[in-house]
Amino acid sequence: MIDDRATGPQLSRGEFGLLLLGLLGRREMYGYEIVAELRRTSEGAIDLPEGTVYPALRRLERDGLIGGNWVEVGSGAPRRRYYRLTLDGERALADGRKDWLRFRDAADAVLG
Amino acid sequence: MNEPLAIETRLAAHVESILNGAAFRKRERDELAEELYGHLWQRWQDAIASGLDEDSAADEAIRSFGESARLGREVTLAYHSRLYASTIGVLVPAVATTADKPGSYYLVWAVLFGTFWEVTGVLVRAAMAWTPVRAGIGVAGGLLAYVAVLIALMACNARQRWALGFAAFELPFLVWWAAVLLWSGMAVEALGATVVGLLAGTATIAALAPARTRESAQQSVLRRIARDLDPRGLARWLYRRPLPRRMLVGLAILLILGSAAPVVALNLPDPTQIGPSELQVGLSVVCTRNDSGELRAVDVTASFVFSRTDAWPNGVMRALGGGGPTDYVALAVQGSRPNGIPMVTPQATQGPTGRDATDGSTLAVAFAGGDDGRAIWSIPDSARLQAGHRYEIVSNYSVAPGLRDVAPIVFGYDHLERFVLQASATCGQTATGQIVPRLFVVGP
Repeated sequence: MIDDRATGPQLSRGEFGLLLLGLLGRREMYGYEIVAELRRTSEGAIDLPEGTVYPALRRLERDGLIGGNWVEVGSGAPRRRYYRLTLDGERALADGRKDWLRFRDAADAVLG
Repeated sequence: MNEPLAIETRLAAHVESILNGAAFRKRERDELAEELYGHLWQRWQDAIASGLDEDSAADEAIRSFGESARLGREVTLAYHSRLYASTIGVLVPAVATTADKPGSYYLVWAVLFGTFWEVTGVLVRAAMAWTPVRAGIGVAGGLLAYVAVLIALMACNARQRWALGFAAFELPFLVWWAAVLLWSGMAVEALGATVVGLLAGTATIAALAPARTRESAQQSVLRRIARDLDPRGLARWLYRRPLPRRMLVGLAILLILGSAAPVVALNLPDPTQIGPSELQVGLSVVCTRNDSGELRAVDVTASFVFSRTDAWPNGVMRALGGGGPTDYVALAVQGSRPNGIPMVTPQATQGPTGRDATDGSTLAVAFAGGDDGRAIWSIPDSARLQAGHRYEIVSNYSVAPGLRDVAPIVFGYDHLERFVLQASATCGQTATGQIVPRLFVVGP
């Protein structure tokens, strides 16, 4: 589990990675933006310690599913590292989404 | 209210506290530090924009970012395997942290790290050269000790006071594990592990110990360490006591059991290895005479049968083709008349010839040494002795003229330097092997 503090769904590393791929599938984002977007789109159900997003991003980058590049912001603010999906990442997202939907349908069938 | 610069320093310190617990390359570390700091900075700015004062905004940014030790572990796992994260990933950050540690910290660290290396030496030796059950017990014990040492290292790094007492408790074990290495025939390894431990510890400290002040940065690391070896500094630096006494006792027991295990293992009978009762040794001496009853030749047939064979008798190392004790067969035929003329020729006129009497194949034996009338042959690993097969070693000897009998001929079988069975017979006799302390303890 990513965090004991999460009050909503308890996420495994793989599921958390899939969510990050899903967000980055929409557009390029940097870490802070990803955390905010995750909180907004899940309506607060996924509320993890914000720092946990970075190890997860590193794992995805190490696996070649996302790539990052630094962008200067100016006016004294620190640089931002923007992430985008790679081709492998797009494939992994498509596969992961399919698996997740199958799992969700199966769970729905069981739970009624 | 703090100055913005002070708050930014505080945010940077939080990033540092996260990365102190992680181990990876400098470039990656610098980039991640910049990224984490950028996140905290923006969170801080957003919290200010939402109406908080600067201090409260910094608190909010740090709180929502997550607990540093946990994030450090996550970061380490993102770069390394779980095994690395739980071993080397614990050791390196233990000294790599730039927290203001007193020099005596490194002394404690060296004790723990030295033990770590010695345990490694025993673990490798046990895994590679010991018989299966002994290796299992030895390795399990070593791993238990590892756990205790690693927990103590982590605790020390986390400024837990109990780790100081535990390190003192562990000091005798530093000597103990070196003794275990020596006792199990690893003098070179014992020396090597200790030297490597000390060198590795010193080198790691020298490379990673932080310069605390501009003044101290100009001194050598060893001088800085020597300057503040005062244990009171360490006692002040270690301030947490989160380990209940019961757990501390458990940890001590873990270390004691783990340290005792290799010694116990070496003294336990290993059921995967055969004992003397599972080897039958026989000797048959047949004498050929002329019409007047004088001896013409003596034919000696020595035999042995294993009811089962050892499983990896010298461990993985031997299985991979390394060294180790082997089996030896020995014959003593030296018997002299009072005038000094040998009863039989010291060297056999034919043989020894080894064979597998069960399937008729040849048993290769190699001359390993001997003297007048006594000879020892080794049975190479390639012989692959099989349980239930009867192996024979046959030798034919000529006899000095005029003899009517020979002194007892002795056959000995030394199994892996673990036990020796020896049989003794003369003309027309057969004999079975009995346990003796060493080859030829009884004989001509």
